[in-house]
Amino acid sequence: MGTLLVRRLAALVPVILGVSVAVFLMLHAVPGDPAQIIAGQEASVEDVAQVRHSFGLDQPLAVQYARFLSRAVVGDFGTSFRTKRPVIDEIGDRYGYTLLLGAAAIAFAVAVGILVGVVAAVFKHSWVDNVCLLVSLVGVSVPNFFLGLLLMLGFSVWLQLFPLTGADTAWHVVLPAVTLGLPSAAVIARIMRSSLIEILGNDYIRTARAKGLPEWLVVGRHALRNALMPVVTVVGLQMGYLLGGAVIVETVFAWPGLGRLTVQAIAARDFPVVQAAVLVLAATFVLVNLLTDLVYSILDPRVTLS
Amino acid sequence: MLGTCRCVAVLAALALGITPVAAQTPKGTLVFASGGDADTLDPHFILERPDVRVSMHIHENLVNFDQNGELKPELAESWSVSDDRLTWTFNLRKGVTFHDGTPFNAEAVKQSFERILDPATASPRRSIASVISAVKVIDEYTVALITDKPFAPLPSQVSMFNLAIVGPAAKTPGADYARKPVGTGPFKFAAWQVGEKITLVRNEAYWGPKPAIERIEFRVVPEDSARVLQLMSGEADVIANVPPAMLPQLKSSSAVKVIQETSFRTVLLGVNNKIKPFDDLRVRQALAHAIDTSSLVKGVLRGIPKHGGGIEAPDIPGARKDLPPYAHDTAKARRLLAEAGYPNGFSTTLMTPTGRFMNDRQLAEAIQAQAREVGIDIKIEAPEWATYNTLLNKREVPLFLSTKGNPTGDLDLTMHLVAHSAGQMNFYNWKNPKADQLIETQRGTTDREQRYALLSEIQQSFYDEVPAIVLFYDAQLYAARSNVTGVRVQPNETVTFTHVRKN
Amino acid sequence: MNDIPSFTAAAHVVAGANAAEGTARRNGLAIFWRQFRRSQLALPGGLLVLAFVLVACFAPLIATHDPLKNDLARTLMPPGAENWFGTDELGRDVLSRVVYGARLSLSEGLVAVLLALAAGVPIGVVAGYVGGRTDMIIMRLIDVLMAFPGVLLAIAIISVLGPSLFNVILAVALYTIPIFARLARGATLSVKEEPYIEACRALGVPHLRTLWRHVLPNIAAPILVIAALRVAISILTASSLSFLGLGAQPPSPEWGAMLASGRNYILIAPHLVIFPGLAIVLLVFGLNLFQDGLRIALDPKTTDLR
Repeated sequence: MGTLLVRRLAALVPVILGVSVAVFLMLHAVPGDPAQIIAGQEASVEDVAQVRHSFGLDQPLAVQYARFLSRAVVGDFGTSFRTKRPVIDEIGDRYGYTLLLGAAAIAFAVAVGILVGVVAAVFKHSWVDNVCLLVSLVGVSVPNFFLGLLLMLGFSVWLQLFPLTGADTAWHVVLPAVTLGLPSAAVIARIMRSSLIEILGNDYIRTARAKGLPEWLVVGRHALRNALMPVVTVVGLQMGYLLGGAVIVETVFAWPGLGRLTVQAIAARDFPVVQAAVLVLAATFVLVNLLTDLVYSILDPRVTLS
Repeated sequence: MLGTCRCVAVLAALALGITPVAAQTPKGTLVFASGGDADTLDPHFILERPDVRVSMHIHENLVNFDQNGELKPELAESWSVSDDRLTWTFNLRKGVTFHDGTPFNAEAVKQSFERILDPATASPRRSIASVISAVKVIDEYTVALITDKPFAPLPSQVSMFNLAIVGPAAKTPGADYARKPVGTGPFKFAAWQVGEKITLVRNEAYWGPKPAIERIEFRVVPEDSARVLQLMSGEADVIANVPPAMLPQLKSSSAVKVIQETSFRTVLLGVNNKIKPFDDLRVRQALAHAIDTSSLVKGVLRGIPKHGGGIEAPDIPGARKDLPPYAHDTAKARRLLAEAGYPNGFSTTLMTPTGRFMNDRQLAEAIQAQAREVGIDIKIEAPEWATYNTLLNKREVPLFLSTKGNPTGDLDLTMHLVAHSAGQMNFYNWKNPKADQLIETQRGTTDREQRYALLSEIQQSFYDEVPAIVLFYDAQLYAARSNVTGVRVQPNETVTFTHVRKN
Repeated sequence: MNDIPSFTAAAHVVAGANAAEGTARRNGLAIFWRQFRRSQLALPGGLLVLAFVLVACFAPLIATHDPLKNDLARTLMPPGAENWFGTDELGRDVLSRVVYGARLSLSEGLVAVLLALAAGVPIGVVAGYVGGRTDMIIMRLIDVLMAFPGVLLAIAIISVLGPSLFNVILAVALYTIPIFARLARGATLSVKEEPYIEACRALGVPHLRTLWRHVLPNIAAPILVIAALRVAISILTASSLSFLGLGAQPPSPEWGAMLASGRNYILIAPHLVIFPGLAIVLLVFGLNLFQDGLRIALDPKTTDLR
């Protein structure tokens, strides 16, 4: 399995390289001259030219890309146009926040999703099940920017339980994490339900019941573990979704994460930051997918990593 | 990876179930919430307002403005100009030290000016300093700035935030001055949590009267509503950019007060004088008569800003105060359009930024509706800021909403940018040889009244030829807890907390 | 590119290989209908969507005011007799704007998905049918596209093209392409080995004809199911982009754009956020219900996957 893992990792290299080329080309196609933006409206022509030169933007595209790549492979992503800080520091400051938000969101999604899914499966076809279904369908139908605003309105403005925006204390993470995690919770709940119902129909469950085990023990000890298998895959898929959703949620809640940084950097034409941030996000994304496969293959020996 | 560590701490706190921090800031700390984080604290690289607000508590200029817009000594105690009007001598304040203990003297001033002038520094604002051709140390506490041509507005020019005196530390290679600024100001830089807050602490060795507060936190709270809520709950002491619509709520609360100041910023509807049909004066006049600025101010901006017709805000020394807005007269507008050959109106495009100044996009929509009344069909485009700027610079957009501020309070700065045919912000493509000449002449005129008379003439031609339609003069809306006094909001859009007291 | 959670993706995990092979034959309309009715929620969902379609078609009859007409004397009015949903910051009637907004949102979803289908399906079918090096190159490119967190890709594309309703549709379509391409490729791969395709090949039927007459009809069902889901997701994404100010331009009453300008008044006029937000939720909810029914109807092997 070790060699397979190495091979899978190696296969990611061209993908990441492709992403870097795509980002690079896209950035340079974007209207809006970074030098002009940085220098500001009132800057003189000489000022703008000076800035352009200091960023190396007066070099041919191929030269710029080659320089970017040769530095990037040794972990040097250059300095931010805007702040003049090393890009690696800019991203380091923000990455932790995005990971924290993502982790909190996925924890919320898994906890709520599994709980609701188990309840729905145990009470299948009853009104409880129907309510769970409806709620989870609404859960995937709410755009996260709207959900975020609703939660702000309810919990920050009216009830004043949570701070509105920012990332100062532990309480700040609650609303963004719920906003980001809710749609995933809905998906996990549904998959949990179907999976558990399928498992509960199996012979060995019937045997366990026949032995007179109480239902909670049947579900808890025998069915749940096996029913969790598909949930693992879904959680992996959802992590990818969370990275994308974080862009919006971070903007709504003014969360100082990587997604918001990227949006701001695109707006400010801060090329080095955009390049690095998108690469980091993309790398995280593909690595999470790989990790999901890995966990899955450990849980279920029949699945190989190929 | 400081952020990551903090996150772990936050996560731990969450796990332990720590309750939210009590609202109410510590007595010695002032928490100021505004919309944007700073990019750099190095004055030679500063372009945006959030940066200025922080930097001007850390750094000082040779000369600065007082509350009434008059020049006052700061790091220079006095100054004078030579008879040939080319050498400006500044007598420096003695006994001042930078935050790292290095003494402030003529050599430090020379180094600071030479740093921004050095092309290797790559300052995006080198041109602000470029009138200065040499800096001479006369003695320990006397320094001379030399210009090639007479430049009357020099003292106000050096009050510009880009020309603040940076500490000699800026010259040390790898100093990261943008993040570790070392000035002479009343506050010292302490910490910067990117995207969240910048903390300054009181400079105990300050040469002037010591501030009453010990710390200032500049907090980033992009959402308007969030800032208002933080103020209401006491999490913030002062907030910037209060949305006009929320004024009634704030005014009705006894815990907070609104601080409203005028500003040197003019908000205008720019017209590209080269693009048909706006190359015809009558069409520009028609548009001016079609727009009802007083209903814009009342409806979109809740009656807060002042309105008038002059290109320069009336509070700037030397600005015309007697130019009224073009009268709202749709019949006249239609007649002018018909005379110009557009009896049925025409279609055009208006470009607006979003969220860059008070209710900008709503303003564009309201203008669109008003212009429709006289048959001008406006299509609104709201590109993002970067694209907006690039398009503006290409000067190919027929109509655009834009603003012009004035950081030094001297008309020369903006008149040259906006009204000179080579002006960097003459997005209107307005060419008036007489105005160009007047702008050059006033630069060499040291007599104040004479200079203002020349500048007044330029303002008149700008008014008559309507290269842009002046909508109103921006208002600055801040709000503070009622126990906070001494917040000084200046018309050049800076805000000083040095004199703040919390009772 | 699972940037919005998908029930169907989850369902496929449980159903295992069912989804890919389970639709080899076309069902009669009657069977379809019976199956469709099995999901009790499909019909209400369909009706809900139909209601929005009708509102969009007859917007001028339903709207009580001109959606673009400013009334600066009546700004930010709460819901009342004159304006049922209140007025916005320029005194425009929110109800009328929401009604006209249905046109924009529906077309965002439909056009984006149709564009993505038109591009993605041929790519996937060709990759799967031809195989070999072509397949490898296409799939690598798709991998690169899929390594971007979706919203970021869309933001980058719009930065290049400039913000407008159509460019948002284009961006959403572009990042939906890989999803259809992968799906079409997978389905084609399994159909390719069927005897009747082998027979076509043996008889020398031209490839294009084989693809059009035999491959496409047999892979249509699973693609249709996902397409219905993607309409819902595209509406969510497009409105998110408009929320970020990248989509429909003022004064057009796009729901996401309405939320974006309304959020500034959330403390004093929450109706500006609530009504357009609810409109998005209801439409997407209806689409999700409908899609659920479609999935069950087109996949007769599903038993309890609701």
